[in-house]
Amino acid sequence: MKIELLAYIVPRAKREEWLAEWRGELAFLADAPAAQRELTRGAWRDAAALRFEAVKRSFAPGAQIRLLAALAGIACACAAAAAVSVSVPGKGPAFVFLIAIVLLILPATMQVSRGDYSAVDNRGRRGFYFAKLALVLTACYFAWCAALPHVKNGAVHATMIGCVVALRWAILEQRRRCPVCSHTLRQPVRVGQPSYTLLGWSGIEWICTRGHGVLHEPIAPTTSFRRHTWSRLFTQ
Amino acid sequence: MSKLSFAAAAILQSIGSGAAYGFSIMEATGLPSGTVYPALRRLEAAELIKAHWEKQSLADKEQRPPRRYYTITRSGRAALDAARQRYPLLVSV
Repeated sequence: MKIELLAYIVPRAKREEWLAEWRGELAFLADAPAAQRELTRGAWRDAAALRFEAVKRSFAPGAQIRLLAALAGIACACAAAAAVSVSVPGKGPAFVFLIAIVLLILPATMQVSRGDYSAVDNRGRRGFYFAKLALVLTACYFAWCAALPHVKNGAVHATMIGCVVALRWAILEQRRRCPVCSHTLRQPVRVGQPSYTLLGWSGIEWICTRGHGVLHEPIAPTTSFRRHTWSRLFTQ
Repeated sequence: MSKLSFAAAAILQSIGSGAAYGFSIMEATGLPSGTVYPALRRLEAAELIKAHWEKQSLADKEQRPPRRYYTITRSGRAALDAARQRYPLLVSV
């Protein structure tokens, strides 16, 4: 594959320099097309690694809010375009009712307990969480508004499922973040066995790689260990 | 980057002993390009190596595109010393 095509995988900010470096490297093998092809395989992996790093960075809180805002904006634009052709009245109250049903369904699909974060002051974290939930619901609402004039049957059901999936993602994603720095928790470790729940707890421990603390998440909630708990590693 | 993998340590060693650009590192270590270049990015991000571009006039003289050269930093030297203790066979690479 041409190196110029592979360059499109690389994030734009690094693309030019990446391309220049690979052109410089491939110039060594100008007389050996087979070896050049072999080297280009490495270029593919190099480009993919750079893109993967960029995607990982996009999970940072600020980048995520910007991404969700852009998504909500696109859904809003689609809804505005759809409203020009057909206007459906009473969408707002219907969506509120739909969300009420979604909130009843949600506990059946996941554990929605608040978790014990008493070891840390997480006011900043709450702001990020509410902003994320608001943007997710806004995107769902406008996507629904955009779909209503075009989809005759099943729009309500599809939106309901979409809202459950979106809210579930937002809640679980937030749970897997450090309450101190809001970065994603990593290195999950299984602790204990579900059959030994009377003798000890069984669950998953996630760690903040910046050293802020550990999240203990029960696999099967018991009376002694019902909800996920955050414990600090060091005194901040 | 507190602990280096063997491949990363071999790449760091090759840079420390004079291999300065991607292709020469591949030749010195015997590692494939798909391992060398992503590792170079990670080592650069960890500030164990730094990169600079060859002068355009030099590249023009040899009628080829300019190369990107890598040099080992002070923290890279310290990481390499630690890696040599961890991987005694690294010296022979």
